[in-house]
Amino acid sequence: MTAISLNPAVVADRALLWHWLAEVFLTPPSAERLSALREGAGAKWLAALAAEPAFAEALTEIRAALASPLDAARLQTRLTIAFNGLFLGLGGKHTLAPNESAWTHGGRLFQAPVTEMSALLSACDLSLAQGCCEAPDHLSVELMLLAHLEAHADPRAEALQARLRLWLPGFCAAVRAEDRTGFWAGAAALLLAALDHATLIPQPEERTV
Amino acid sequence: MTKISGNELRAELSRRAFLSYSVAAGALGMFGPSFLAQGARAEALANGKVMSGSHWGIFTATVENGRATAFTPWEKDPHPSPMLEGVLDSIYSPTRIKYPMVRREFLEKGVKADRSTRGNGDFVRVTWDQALDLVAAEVKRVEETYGPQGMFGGSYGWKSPGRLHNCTTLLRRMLTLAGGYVNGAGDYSTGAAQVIMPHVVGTLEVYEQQTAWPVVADNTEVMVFWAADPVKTNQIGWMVPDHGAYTGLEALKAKGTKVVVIDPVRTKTVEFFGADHVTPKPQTDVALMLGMAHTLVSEDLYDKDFIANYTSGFDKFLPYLMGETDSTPKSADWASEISGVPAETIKDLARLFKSKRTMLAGGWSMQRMHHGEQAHWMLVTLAAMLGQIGLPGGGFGLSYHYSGGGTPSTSGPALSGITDGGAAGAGPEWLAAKGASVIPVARVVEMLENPGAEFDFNGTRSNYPDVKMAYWVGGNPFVHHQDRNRMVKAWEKLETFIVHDFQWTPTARHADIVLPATTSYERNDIETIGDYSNLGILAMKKIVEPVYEARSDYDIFAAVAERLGKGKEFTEGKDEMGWIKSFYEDAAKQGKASGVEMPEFDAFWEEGILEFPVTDGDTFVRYASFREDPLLNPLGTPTGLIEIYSKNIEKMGYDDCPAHPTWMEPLERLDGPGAKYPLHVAASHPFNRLHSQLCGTVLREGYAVQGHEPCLMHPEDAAARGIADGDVVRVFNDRGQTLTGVKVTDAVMKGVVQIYEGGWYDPSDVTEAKTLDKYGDANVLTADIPTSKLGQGNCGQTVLADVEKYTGPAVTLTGFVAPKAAE
Repeated sequence: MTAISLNPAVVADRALLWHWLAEVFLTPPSAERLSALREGAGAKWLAALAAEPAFAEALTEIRAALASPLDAARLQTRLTIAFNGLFLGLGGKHTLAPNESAWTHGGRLFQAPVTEMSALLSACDLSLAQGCCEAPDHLSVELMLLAHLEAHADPRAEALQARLRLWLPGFCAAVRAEDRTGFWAGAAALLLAALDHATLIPQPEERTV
Repeated sequence: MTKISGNELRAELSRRAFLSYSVAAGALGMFGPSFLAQGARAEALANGKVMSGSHWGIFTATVENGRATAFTPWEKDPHPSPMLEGVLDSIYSPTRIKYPMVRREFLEKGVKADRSTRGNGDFVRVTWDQALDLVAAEVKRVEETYGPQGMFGGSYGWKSPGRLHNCTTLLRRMLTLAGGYVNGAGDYSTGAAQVIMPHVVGTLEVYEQQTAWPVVADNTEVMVFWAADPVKTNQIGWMVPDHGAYTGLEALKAKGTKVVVIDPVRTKTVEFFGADHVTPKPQTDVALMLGMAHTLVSEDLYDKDFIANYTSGFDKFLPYLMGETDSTPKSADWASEISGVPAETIKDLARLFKSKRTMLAGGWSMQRMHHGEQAHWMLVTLAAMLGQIGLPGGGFGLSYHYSGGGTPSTSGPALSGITDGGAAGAGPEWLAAKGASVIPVARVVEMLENPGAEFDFNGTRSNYPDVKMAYWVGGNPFVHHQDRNRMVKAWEKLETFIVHDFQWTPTARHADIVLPATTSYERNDIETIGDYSNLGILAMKKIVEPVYEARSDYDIFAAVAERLGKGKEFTEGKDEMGWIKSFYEDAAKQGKASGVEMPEFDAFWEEGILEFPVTDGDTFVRYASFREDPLLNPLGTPTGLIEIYSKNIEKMGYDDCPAHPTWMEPLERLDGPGAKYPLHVAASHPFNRLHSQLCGTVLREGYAVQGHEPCLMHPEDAAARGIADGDVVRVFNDRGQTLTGVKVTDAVMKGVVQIYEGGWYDPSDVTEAKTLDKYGDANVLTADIPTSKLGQGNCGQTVLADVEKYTGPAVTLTGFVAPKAAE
């Protein structure tokens, strides 16, 4: 029998990754967050992620977007305009709603996934914090819940991953086609790669320590 | 080696990983707090059926777990609109505004912000408290610094129905309390007609009940839809439509009545009736009518008795008609040369109209063009010469295509609504000209460009105010106003631009402060059913809770008023249901006085709808009493008669609006003198939208061509340009350029392309002059000139352009790409 040791740090990293991606798709980066990503702790975080071969290509795109010659304020404006247009509705017909309903129910929001995700949150004894007005099937909510479940080694994480796999290929492909900044195109690629990466990690029942 | 169970592993990982996760997150300092909170939310999600209404009709919503999942038309609706699917989608559209947002430049620099970057999308989220404080501070600043002349509250548009959440009135209510505002008079639909008609027949006419459809079905022998497409446009209503016009149209069709449609486009109405279709060149309707009038005189067919007894000034018109005053007889040949309609056809139509009981049902597009006042004036004159005005099924009507005009009226009482707090005005509330000063609503850009300049309007002369701030609710001027590029530039004069909406319309995208409003379906209200029929009263019940952070316009303005120290004056101590109940009870009092008993409010609200009986409304004949005795029942004109010559207009001395119906060359027209571009753009009302409403919904997928607004083009025009069906084309003139998707069809006459108005403006680069509009906003191309000094209406149908195959970089995507697993 081959012993496989699952380093808790892997779980932590994965949870952090979901947490970070949840934030990436929830709001455009603030000035502080952008600064951290360009030259602070965030830059180290991105460097660490880039060391993972499966993530390298996506990270190259993200880091290239952040390495723009624009000063911080202009880059923030550029990313804000892009985010608002891509995800927040300002893009009109080009809007790519980061909601499961939109990608499984013909573009319309607040469909069955909202009810299903509400039920899952309740079952996990969780709810959306004050100030978060998103629908429960928003990508960021699903990712944040995934982070929580994985961090707690909750088996419901696997079903949630499967749920994400159902709609993220279409969403991420559209983001990659539409994003002109490279930041969300890279994030979309990273998201898909991380989901695929999860399959490389043996499930608890199969492991010995 | 120890083998542990899955459960044991999970427990171990949970303990260790949670610690690791928390520590790592804190150490990195780059992760925000989780937006998940411990504890499930105790929610009682609604399930069931809720009846409500919209501009598209009455419907019952199915609600499952707090979500609206289907809208089903009211079982008594004779012709439900297919747009209802888009109405549902509007609640859950990806373009909903989620939370209050402020343009970053404005948030940081206030009035010193660069205004040329408005519309670039650089908005940041703020809290409701921040937003409301900011709005109140801006209103206060402008009122105190510039006075009411600095505040434009003439917000115009098709706000949602409902007597309480009437956002334009609520805006003016708040601004009245804040100190006052500049208002806009009139509207974009009938800007010219609503001003000229009182001079001609003494009423607005365009918003009046028509001879009832049953009378038309029984008596009319020739129904003429002139620039009107009632099969298309009766889908909507200003209030909650009854769709009663379709019953009339069906009856007319069933009887086999001869229908003639005069329109450059083979419309839905042509197809519905299998109608005779006459295709004049656009903007030549007045010439065509004059040619018919000339025929009636030349062949001694006109009704001299009617002209003598019911009209005034024909003697001054006749010399013009016959060419005695300008050496140009307005003969059928002359009209044919201008309109392209064969002279014999013109003569035949004149003879037909005279020989049969004929109803001339005029649309409004013919007056939404340069010198548009003349069209309806000449239509009435032609009808007067036919001598059938006031007879059952004869004469003219200017509202058969709108909001169910002609649907028999009931004897129910009128429903009141929230007021703007100012002095009461006459006529429809959206036409009431109240405010610190008033401009014709379509002259808003001219006002911004020329503060202090004099302007004429229906016999008055005023000066444009120096407006510094505009507040827009329930409207979308960045789609409905003409000459978009000129408008975008002029808007830079505004220090502040605030918008409430539920979707990111082009107008919201060009604002400084954007507040998310609820849709009608996320609040309670009450409304009349049937603009002309007053079929009943509908409880517009809330269907779902507001999504995201949306608030009702009433709540928003009450909160702003509160910050201005006028909260109590604004609310008068009433909440939403308190107001709704008061409107109902006012109607009940009226009803009691007139013998119409209404149930108690609670019973009505429970039932959801109250219908009134039709007593004698189905026999109504417009102008019958005037015809019966013009002395006892005079019109509201100076002479009490139909004025074919207006001395009042003569006194105004306008060079662009003579004192009798006159053919005048517009700024530009197809094959007209000096026409620079070879194609006319017919910017008609869309079939699948209410102007620009529902453009941001799933309905678009049913008509868009490669993601763009469709452009109908005649096969010969397409072939001459190497354009094939489905191509993306650039439509352009000196004013702007827009991308559309071509549908090659002989439904449009040669020389005309049709691009529906209401396509959402989608600029490539807001900082670039005459930037390419990527979607198909027809008003990028139209001229922003007044119809005349009289009406000062808009000229959305005055537009020439050319078309070429688009070969630039791709600007569209195919929309949502469903994952394979979901297909």
